[in-house]
Amino acid sequence: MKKKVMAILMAGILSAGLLAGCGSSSSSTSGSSDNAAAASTGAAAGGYKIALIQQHQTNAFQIGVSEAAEAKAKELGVDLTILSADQDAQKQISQIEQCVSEGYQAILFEPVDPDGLGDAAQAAADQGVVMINVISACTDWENHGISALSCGDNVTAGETEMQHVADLLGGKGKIAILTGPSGDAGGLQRLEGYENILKNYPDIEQVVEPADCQWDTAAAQGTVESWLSAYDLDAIVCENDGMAVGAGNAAGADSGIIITGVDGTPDGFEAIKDGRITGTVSQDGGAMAANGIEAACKLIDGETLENNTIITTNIWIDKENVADYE
Amino acid sequence: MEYILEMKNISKTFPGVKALDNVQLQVKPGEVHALMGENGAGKSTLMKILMGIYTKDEGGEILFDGKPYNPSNPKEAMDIGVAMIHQELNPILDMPVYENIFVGREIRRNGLVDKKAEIEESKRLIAECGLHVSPMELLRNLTVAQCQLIEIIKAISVNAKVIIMDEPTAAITDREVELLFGHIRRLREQGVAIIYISHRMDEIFNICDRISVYRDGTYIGTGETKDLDEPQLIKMMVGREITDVFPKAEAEIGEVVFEANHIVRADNKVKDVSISVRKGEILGIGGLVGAGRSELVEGIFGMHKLSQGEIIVKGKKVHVRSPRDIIKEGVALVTEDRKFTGLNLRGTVNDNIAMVAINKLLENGLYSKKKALAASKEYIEKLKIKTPSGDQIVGNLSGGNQQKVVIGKWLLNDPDIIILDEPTRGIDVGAKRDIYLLIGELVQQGKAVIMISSEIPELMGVCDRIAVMSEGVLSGELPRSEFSQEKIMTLASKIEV
Amino acid sequence: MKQDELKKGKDAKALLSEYFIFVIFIVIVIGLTILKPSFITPKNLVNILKQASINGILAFGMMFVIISGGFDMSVGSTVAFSGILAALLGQGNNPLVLALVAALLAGLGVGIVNGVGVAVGDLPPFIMTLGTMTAVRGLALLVSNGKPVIGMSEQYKAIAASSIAGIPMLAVFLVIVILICSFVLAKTVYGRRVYACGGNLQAARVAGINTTAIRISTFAIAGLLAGLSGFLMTSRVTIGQPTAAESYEMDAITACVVGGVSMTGGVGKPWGVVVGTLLITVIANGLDILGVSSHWQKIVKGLIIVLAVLIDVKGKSKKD
Repeated sequence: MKKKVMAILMAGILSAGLLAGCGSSSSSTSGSSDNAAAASTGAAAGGYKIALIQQHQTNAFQIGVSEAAEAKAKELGVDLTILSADQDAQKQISQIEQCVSEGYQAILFEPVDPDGLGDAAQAAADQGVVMINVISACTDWENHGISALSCGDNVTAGETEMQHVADLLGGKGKIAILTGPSGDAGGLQRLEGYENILKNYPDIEQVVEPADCQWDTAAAQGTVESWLSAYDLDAIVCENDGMAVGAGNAAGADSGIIITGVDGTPDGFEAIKDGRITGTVSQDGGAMAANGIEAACKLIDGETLENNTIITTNIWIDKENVADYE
Repeated sequence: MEYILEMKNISKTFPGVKALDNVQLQVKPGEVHALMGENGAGKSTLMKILMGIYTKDEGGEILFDGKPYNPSNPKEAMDIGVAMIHQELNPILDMPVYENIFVGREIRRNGLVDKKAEIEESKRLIAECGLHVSPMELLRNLTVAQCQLIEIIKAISVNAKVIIMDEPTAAITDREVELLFGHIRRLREQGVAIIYISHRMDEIFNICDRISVYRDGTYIGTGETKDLDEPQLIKMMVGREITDVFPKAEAEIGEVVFEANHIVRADNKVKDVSISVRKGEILGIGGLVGAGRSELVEGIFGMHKLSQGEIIVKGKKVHVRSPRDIIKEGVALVTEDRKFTGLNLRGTVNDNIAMVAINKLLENGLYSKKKALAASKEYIEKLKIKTPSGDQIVGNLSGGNQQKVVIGKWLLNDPDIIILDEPTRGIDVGAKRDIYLLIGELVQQGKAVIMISSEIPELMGVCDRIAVMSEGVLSGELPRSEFSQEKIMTLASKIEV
Repeated sequence: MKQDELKKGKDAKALLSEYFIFVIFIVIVIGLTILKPSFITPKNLVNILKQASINGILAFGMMFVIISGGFDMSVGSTVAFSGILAALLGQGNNPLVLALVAALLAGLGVGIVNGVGVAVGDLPPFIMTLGTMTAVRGLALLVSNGKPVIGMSEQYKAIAASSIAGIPMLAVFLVIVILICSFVLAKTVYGRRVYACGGNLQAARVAGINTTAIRISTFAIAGLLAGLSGFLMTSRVTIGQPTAAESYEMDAITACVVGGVSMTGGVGKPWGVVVGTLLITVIANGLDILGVSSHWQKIVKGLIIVLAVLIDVKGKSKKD
């Protein structure tokens, strides 16, 4: 008997924990629905009802996306609901279907899987919902009922980063690359950007194979520590800021090694300020979401877009200008 | 062809131990051939070689039906025609009876398991065996005895020419033993040879045609049962004569030190039983398997919930919620199933000896390996435990020695009341005698002993008083002056109407 | 006479099989040194110590749980959660002890919940800790709002970066944990009871051991050490990340198993876990400095682990 009670109690504690966990994803939603409630009176007077479905909400980049989207929604009087697909394509499909049946006028989404969501987008568009890709695109998105794509460009981001590294090195030196999980689409595109630049610099030598550090600071830190005891490196080029911070920790502040990242997250900025990393390329996810919402409003109003691919530009951030972006 | 099976000059060396030294065995078709010897004599090793579980050392040969026989695993042995019923049963508890019978050699049709045929065949085999269970019943719901018979059915159904039975009657009732012997005789008539391992003399003389005796890994001899008697056999096994099988020490019987009154178990396996024991007294608890004897002592010891009952140790009422509460009061329980509830088989002899009374092995509040070694050395000597050292893993010891380790672990705690549940099950004559002598010593020291046993002669030989249980209730109690086989049997089979 | 000779032969063999994993470790170290002499430089040895520390501390917690017959999937999440708490409290001018205590208490709390669920609620350890693994990861994300926590005080960052007499501070923590844990397991009544519970839970209960308390305590120890790891992890990477320490429980379990801790409980020696931890760290470090690509690293790491244990197990089974 006692055991049973305990088991139930445990289950209770657990589920409370889980609920609390869920709360993290819904907290931004509830925040926005407060806005929505405020705005919903305005919605009757021609406001917009829009959903944003994010890939996940577990890192600074994605949280930045949520926050910027909420700000933009407030500005434009949009009734915005933010959902997280938690990296699950199936979940994202159901979320799109749910939003269609709940009468959203537009759905913005970052596809969990570029190939798996085309049909769901097409089905939603057939119901008259404005579908917009943000941050990354579905394969062949224009033929799947998707009206617009608001994104940065990972290849360009990679090019921007590597170009700065090449300039700082004076076109000559030994470098190493840290990548995200092998097979990650964004990571591969950034790598492509690196290669596009490296073609032009025969004197820049990659002394080790790119290491897969899973976007993780601690993993990057361990790998770079090991490298530094065996190789003389002039630069370490990282596919995100988290790994750049790890590399920076391993090398120490003002090490003379050029260490760069992508994303422009707060931990990256902190490391730039204290000299552990050299610079980062900002992928302004917030701007992508905001641009997407703006485009959605225009399309709902029946206007047309000048260009249905909206590219958010990359910015190089280093010690000089970091204060402007915090 | 005189012999169906011949094992010649078999040796087996384990690191540090020569388990078998040049031994032999010849078995004729259609005979029941007993293997006898104390634990550690090498019987089990010899049989494991026969089943392909161990490989014998170079040299020596095995002939089966005149042909060389060298199985590399039990499946191969079974395919050739040798099956074994193990002492420790390994039934798959959540499988129905029919699947247990056919596991590993399923009846197939079109490559799939033919469930219907398996059920039909099982039904026939079960009926032949005089057992009343459905083939669909899960093994979990069967008694130990029924599981044992299923195991026997399994071996019979392989159509083996040689069946090894290792202590097949250890856990079954007398009625079931008779049924089993019926089967053995029938198999014998069909020309099947049975290799029969048992420590029970009466069974050996009842059923076996010939007997081979081993001692300390060597072969002593083989003889016709009709030419041998019990003292001769014991002498062959232990290498010396044992005059009194049940040595009875004289001890002074004092006041009542332990009482359990109106014990009712929550699962109703024990219904309102009261027992008590005096200082210096040996109380026996007799009855058939399943009468609720182990259930009673396990209930008293806090291993199972009681719905009613009062436990008084040395005049003090004890509220028992877990074994800890009663151990503190100086009570010990040597459980029936040493593998499940008695020993840490992965631990060393030291570890096990230290399990209960580790507080006696401390130095400055810390566990002292030195003291543990000294303690285990003391019990190794006192209880004649055959082990190379206290650092030996208990799982590598023979059954009798394992049992002695369990007893040693409790003795270290210096208990006043010692409950022994089937302390001599599955162990050899020599080790049994050691345990009887030990019980005698304990009561002489003023301790009280409660001993459960299924062997009536043992109870009669050792105890001062016998309480008999039947179907969860106490059916009667006999003082030593009134002991007789008949009276005990009558009480044991008394069924409440 | 014969027996004595046999015994001697056995001892040499047994000794070899018992310390086989150590032999494998030495062989790998020698091999790496030949392939890449910079592997053995003092600087890289310091790296190895640093890299082994956090996994080592986790592995020692895991060892208690596994020896007592359990299993803990939640330590990675617990590291992240306690690391986030430590990061939040380690900002600005808060006294450092606040962050440390919060991280330890958070870890201890998760451990006790695990232990109670397993020992009292009778849930299988795998299921119970799988539940907390997910829930605690959620807590980490909730508390940090999904973002990395920055702005740790210099004093806090300095812990992992500093060293005493050339020995990195992280390794000092590891050594302290190793010494305390080895002492507790070998020398205290409690330690012996942990082995007894894992060897045969029923027999331990019948022998009067409070098995419920022992089992809860082993999970609590694992949780406490995960909390300590979280505190150190945050100091090492200088940020608190809710997504950190993903699948660290697997590395800890690997270190235990490679080090000879039996997954069925009751068997395991602290020094084995030390070698296990060093072995997997050395493999990762060695492959990094050899510049082996990540894809190959995964394959090599997996193979070496399986082979090491296989050879070890085979070596031992010959004994019986």
